[in-house]
Amino acid sequence: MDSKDDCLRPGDSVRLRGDPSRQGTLAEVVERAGQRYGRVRFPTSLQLVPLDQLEPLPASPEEPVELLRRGRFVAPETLRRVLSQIRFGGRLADMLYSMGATRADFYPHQYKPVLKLLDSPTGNVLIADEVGLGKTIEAALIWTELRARFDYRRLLVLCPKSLCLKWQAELESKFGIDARIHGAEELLSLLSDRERWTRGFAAICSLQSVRPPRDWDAGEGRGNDSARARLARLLDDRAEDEPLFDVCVVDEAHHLRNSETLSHELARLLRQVTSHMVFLSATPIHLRNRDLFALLSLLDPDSYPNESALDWILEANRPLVAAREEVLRGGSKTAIAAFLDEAERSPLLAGNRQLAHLRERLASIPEPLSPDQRAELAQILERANLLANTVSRTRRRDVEELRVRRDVKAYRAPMSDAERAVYDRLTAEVCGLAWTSDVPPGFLLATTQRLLTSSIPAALDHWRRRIEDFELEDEEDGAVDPDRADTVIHPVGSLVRHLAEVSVELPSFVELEEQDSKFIALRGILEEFFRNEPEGKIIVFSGFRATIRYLERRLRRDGFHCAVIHGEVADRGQVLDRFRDDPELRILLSSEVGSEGIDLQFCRALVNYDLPWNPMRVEQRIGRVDRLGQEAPKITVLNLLYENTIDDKIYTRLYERLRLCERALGGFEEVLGQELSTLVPDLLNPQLTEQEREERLDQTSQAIANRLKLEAELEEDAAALVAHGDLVLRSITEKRAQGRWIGAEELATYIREVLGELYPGCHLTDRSDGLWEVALTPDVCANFHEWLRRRGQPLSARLGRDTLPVLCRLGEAKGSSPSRGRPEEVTLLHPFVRFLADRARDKGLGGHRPAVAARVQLVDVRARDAGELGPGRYLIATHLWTFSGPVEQQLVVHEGVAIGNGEAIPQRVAEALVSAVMEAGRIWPDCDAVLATGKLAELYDQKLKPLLEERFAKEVDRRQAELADRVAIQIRNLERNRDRQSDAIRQAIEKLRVRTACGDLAADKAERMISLNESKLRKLRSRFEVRRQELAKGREMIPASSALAITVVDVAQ
Amino acid sequence: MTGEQNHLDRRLERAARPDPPARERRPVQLVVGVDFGTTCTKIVARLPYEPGEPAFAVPAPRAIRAEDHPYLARSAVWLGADGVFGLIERAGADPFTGFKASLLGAFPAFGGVERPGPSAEELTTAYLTLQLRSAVGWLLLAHGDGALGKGELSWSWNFGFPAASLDDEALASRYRRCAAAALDLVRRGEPVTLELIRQTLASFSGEQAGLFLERQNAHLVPEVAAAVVGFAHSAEREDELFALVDVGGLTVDACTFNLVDRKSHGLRCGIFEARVEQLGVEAWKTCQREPNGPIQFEKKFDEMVRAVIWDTRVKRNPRSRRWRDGLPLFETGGGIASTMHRERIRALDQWLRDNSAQGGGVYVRSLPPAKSLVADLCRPDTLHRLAVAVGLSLPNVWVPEVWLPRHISDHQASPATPSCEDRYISKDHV
Repeated sequence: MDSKDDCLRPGDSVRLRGDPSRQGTLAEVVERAGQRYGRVRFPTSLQLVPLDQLEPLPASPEEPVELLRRGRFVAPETLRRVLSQIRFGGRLADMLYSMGATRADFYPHQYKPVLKLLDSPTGNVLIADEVGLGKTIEAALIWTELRARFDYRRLLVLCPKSLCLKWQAELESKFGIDARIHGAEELLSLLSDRERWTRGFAAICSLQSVRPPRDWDAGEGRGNDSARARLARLLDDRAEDEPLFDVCVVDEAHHLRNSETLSHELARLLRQVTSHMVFLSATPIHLRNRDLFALLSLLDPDSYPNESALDWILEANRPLVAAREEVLRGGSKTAIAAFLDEAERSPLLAGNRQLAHLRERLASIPEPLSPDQRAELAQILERANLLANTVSRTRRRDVEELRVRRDVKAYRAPMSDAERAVYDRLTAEVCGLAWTSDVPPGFLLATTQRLLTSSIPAALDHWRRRIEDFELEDEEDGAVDPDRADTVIHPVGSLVRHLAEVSVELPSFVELEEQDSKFIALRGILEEFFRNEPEGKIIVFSGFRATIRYLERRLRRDGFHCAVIHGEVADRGQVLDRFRDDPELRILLSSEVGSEGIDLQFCRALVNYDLPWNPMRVEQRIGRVDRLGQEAPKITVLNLLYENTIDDKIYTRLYERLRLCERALGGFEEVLGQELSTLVPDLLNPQLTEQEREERLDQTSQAIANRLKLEAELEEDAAALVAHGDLVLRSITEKRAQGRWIGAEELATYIREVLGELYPGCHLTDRSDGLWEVALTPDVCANFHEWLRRRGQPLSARLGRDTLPVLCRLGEAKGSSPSRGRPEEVTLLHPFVRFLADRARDKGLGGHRPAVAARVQLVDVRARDAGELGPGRYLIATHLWTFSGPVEQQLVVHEGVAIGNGEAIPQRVAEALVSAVMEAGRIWPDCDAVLATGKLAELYDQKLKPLLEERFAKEVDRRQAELADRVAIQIRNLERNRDRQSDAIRQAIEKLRVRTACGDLAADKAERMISLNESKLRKLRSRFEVRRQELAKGREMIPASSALAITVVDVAQ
Repeated sequence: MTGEQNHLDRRLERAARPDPPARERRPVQLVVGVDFGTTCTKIVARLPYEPGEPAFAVPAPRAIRAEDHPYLARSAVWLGADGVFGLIERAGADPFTGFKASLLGAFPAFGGVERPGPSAEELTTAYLTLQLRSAVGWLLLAHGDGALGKGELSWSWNFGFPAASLDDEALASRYRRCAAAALDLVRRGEPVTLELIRQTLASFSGEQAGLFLERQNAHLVPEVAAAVVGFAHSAEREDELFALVDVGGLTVDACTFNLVDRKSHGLRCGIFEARVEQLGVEAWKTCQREPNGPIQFEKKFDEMVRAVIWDTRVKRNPRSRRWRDGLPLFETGGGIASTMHRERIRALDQWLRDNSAQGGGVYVRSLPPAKSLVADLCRPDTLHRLAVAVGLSLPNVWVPEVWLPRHISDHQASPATPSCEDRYISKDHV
């Protein structure tokens, strides 16, 4: 027996001879009952160990393969500690830290922008999803992901004023973010107060409130001294310093599209002081859309210095997109190669390393290509796509969860004689007035006419009562574009007065109410609906408060309980909560305010009591129900109309013909708006005959159909250009299945283990249903408070405040927003978890690089997407790859072999085995007796290590190629820009030279100008060189690979 | 039965042979924890310095299982007419049970063999010898070529010793003799006869037993310390006050204690208050047959456990933050499955809240699950039966030093500035 213990002295670094992962310092040697013991200071405790169980720590750490060779295995917990520490470190490229860390429901497409941004070379991204896909959630997920990775603390959201409250509510309820709405003055004070800035914030500002004034840069004291101007100057001054904001989200980013506007200027200023810009816009993405360039040039000015650069990139992209389509369509290698040839002819892609790799890969695979090989090639092509990581676009049709069928029915209520008389008379009055007076027909007259077709009794009652106090009742058009806030047209009271006077001559209100054919139809619809769906809820939309009030009164009288929301209802959230939760409340009467930013997916039926003439308004109404989270396969849309009215004509010739209610309209708001704005005056023109009006409607219908078709084609074309990324979606789903996110169990285990190691005495008690009671010791609370103090962060959470037990929900946040009395939600982002991860890193927890022997049950492995694995023994090597460069990233990779036959197992299965060992593995104490460890070490050296080295080399190559290609494109764009500017200057110089030949005064001036231009040219070249050097630095990356662990697994049936 | 006998014989035969050859030139320490109970015995062996500190629960041969639990061996021996002891019933042999109670002489009403023949010491020694042989044999058969063969085996032993007898030196001495004699015989192949037992016991008089045990790395460990040693070395340990209620078949032990990490002097388990009464599961069953029995029994149970907590609260450790945050109470022992006992223990929470101005109650906590315990034959929800044996399988140097109530003086409240708590008089005081 070795007598290594004889040479041990206090102060020596030692470890257990039987368990090399347990390392510490020998504090003293004591004797107990005739035996010699060492008192060893382990990282977290002091323990007596028989001296003969200790040995000195080797001078340099042993590689896992050496430990394997000597059969010095450790328990699965050590593997878990090693990998947990890396996972909680927040640098893993293939993890999604935002997954499960919020209260938002899981939809794979919403993580696509997160992945795109993480891969984006600029760290900026444009989210251009179609409406209704949750762009707000996507932006907030990006913030969550970046917070988890980089401990970000400063978020700025810019949005139209009308959306500020919606953003605030959404961030609070789904992400637990306490965001505050600020104006320029408050934002300035936030940025100027170092303490508040350090502490962090989530600020929401309306674009208008912080947009710089025109003369903002005239200088202090000389020009504008408003808060907005001072804010702009601050942003400009701080351009070269530490970023002021970590993430800036700009909602409705198309407001920035015009480079001449101050909104654009604001975005430019913000870009200089922000680490990540996230733009949200539902604007259609296609080649003729100049908005795309405007937004891209803000996000990545190096790649998109001018419009021609975008054209150039789009042109170069075209064969890449075609090649990808060819790959996925099952095309031959020759056909794919032909597209690659074409791509390489583009000057932008000449010498592109990613394409060269692709060629090599293509050449190395024999025909026919397998589905996996096609997926691999498609993925390479997606990554090579020059727009792939700058734009994230998801269409409704790509989202599985949105495939809800719309069952659309129209109810045409025939008018009674009295109703017809009123309708005809008042319509004639409205149309006549439109032509006899100088009233803008598109707004006021259309509104008046629409109120009439909404509800005749309600309209009459309204006009009679409002003669003296006319108010704008159309809530649809009341929601004006915030950018046009100063152009709101106030109605002309004379029209109302005239209508009121006329209505006196018409049948009485009581008579009309009694025979209200539309209301009778509605009552029939509701009765039938409640008969068929005894617990169902239904929404009745109307664009007019007058109609809503009328319906509320009449329905109540008939015994229907209704909830009501419109612009005058202050706490709409409370009303909606009541409507959702109260089983007695079955009907919601809502104006257009209820059609914006409100989620009603717990309903599956809605009634349009009146018809907005703009189909986008109807789409918004339907969108409240037909949205993510709607669990029914079918929703019902019931449209109510008076027969043979303008509404009826519009509905028949536009809505029904184009099936506008049956399909989601995507981003075609602008198209529809343009066509309708020219149609409305004609519909109200008394000089047109009925037939002419109908022809006019048909023309509009055809025009809209043509425009929709064209937009769809362009969209389809552009869809590929920005790489819709079904492979990205697949990778998100795989990440979820493979556990590449921090779940509740893992978080609980991590907290328990780190607390156990560093702060004995704390305890976590599983209270079931995902709830845990956490009790901390005074020691950990004190350290946590100190940690917060050093970081300038307040003590805002209950967990960590004191030693009283706190009920926590660990991991996946659930339910509605947190409040007093509810369990505290503790995710990866919780300051206490961050504190623990920091402490664990500082203390070197998980620093050992072990050889592990473990037993697992087959069922535990198969549950992890490794169904093909059979019982047996496997050897898995786990390595850590680190890529430092513009952004430091890590990857944990696994390779495995079956020990029996030495055959490699798929990487996915190797990963599943490691996960199973971490979570359910049990120690395999006699592994070294059962298996020849020397042979296992050989297997690692000869099989696993080369496999991992080869993969690492490929990954390094891929990353370097990506960086190099991107920089090359930027430099080429830069060169083009330089050449264009140089040419212009040279031409100017040439012209001036001609003038110098004249020899008069003009010649002297020309000489001076030539000199100035030559100086300009020199400066241009110098600037170019500096910028080129800066860009070239983006190519630098330092890759490193190290062995993390080797695991021997016995998988039992 | 023959198959069972053969199985047991194989174990006993293997125990008599040497340890397996070592694969590595280093010592491997194996600690065998023996929880010798009045009705059943549990044995767990652990490799505390190997990766994951694996611990193996020793299965009881089917024929000697108690309560049909795979790791509970009935505390019973058979003595044949030939004078040979055995663990399995055989024709013509006399069964002996309850010898532990007799050995400790504590509770004559519930056990104790009051008849001529072998003494309680002899029966205990014979039983322990056979149980230890069976355990050693099983360990070598099951793991000799595996985990135990890693290095040169170094055996050590921890025997549980009842908390109620902590202060009784005569009793401890008797128990030491039995353990020493059993250990002396464990690796010897000859049959365990009454004569052999008597001879061996005779050789361990006075201090010899203690010295022998020391040479064998064997120790008597207070059961209360054994119950909490796992917890004391777990991540959840804290230097604070706890309560423990151990519900056995016969008795209920209740105590309050704290754990203090004295750094270089190791852990100390200070027992503030401890009481033991015959309020175990068997006693409960008996009293249920009597009129008013259950009511009286529950009252006695409440009084006993509440007295332990309240005396700690007002006299022994009134400054503890537990009176504000809540006092964690561990419930252990096979009797915690008894509904009555569980309900009365849970009722302590409201009682303490009602009687404490600081508002803290009592919350029941489980002892942490045994780390790396290999006990595949039983359901996880019955593993708690092994808690003491698991604690005993930890190295003796890890066991906290136990300070008895008499070692700890009462807290002296300052009369000049009485706190609100001191001024409070509860219902229990009047």
